[in-house]
Amino acid sequence: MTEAVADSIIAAAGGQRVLPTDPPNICPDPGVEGRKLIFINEEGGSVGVTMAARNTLIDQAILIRGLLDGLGGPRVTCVLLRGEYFPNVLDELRPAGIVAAPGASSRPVATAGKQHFYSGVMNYRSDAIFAEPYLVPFKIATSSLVDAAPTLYATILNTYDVVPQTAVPCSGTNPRRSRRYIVQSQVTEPTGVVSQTAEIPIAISNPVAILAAGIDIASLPSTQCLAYRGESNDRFHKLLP
Amino acid sequence: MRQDYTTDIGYTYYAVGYSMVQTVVIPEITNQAVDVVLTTYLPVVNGQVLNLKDTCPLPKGIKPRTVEIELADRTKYRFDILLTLRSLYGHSYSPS
Repeated sequence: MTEAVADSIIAAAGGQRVLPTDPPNICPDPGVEGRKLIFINEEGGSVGVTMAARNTLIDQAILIRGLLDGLGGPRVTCVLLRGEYFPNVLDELRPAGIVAAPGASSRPVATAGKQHFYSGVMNYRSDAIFAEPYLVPFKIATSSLVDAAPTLYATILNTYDVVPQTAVPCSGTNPRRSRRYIVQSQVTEPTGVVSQTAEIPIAISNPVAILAAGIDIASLPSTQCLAYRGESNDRFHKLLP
Repeated sequence: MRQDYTTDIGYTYYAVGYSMVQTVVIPEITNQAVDVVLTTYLPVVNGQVLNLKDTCPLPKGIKPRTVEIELADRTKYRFDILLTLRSLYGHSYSPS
């Protein structure tokens, strides 16, 4: 890869090259990963590029793929989208004055050992295609014996459009993974207070809604840890013309 | 590389540093292969090489041998050199 192409790729991703004279990153944030497009060529080599924003991912992917193919080497055959990851956003999102307290468990007490799930397909708005929602499956542990939403997150799931649609999930592995909050909570069970993890998908792509959902989850007294993973797609190249 | 980064929830972080990682797959595990990586890819990047790490987990299983290069501008390049079964076998058991 030539310097000019490297600089063009970095510019296409919304960045610039670090210069030796630049100051260091004075506020490191351990564990944080930016969203990435990973371009894999026909020989198995790859180039991973952190993308500054998610508004025009398809146009940027087309541009970067063209730059890499223009090098005359092996051609780009696959493009993967890896969502951003923030291991702990609770400090940023939790309002002041929340007093920690255990919430309702998602484990069904009446059927010991058997976990029930609230599942289906939701109308999901992607980071890549904003125009129309498409159907993405979801599956969340619940204590409900009729597979209703878990008590702890029922209102939040309903507010942010994680509601089952009258459609059948496609069989096979889905290459798309929705953006989600990963919540560790303290919950009450017959044996006492225990820790429980849940992944709460967010169907709405609007950043204001994603933020609001995070604040709602952070505001639950039972929430102890809160992480965020952005949307991923192992077949992002299928979206490119 | 560095960039102003906007998170999914709309927060903007100013001038955050990232690496653009390039991986090159080379089927044979030989010293020549490492040389090819260095001579082919090093001259095209600007700056002085600060760290050059060659991890070589050869004995057990098929595991990538990785050459990591960090330049003075803090750009990092990582080259995974994948072992094929043939080259692993030949490398481990053929007397030379």
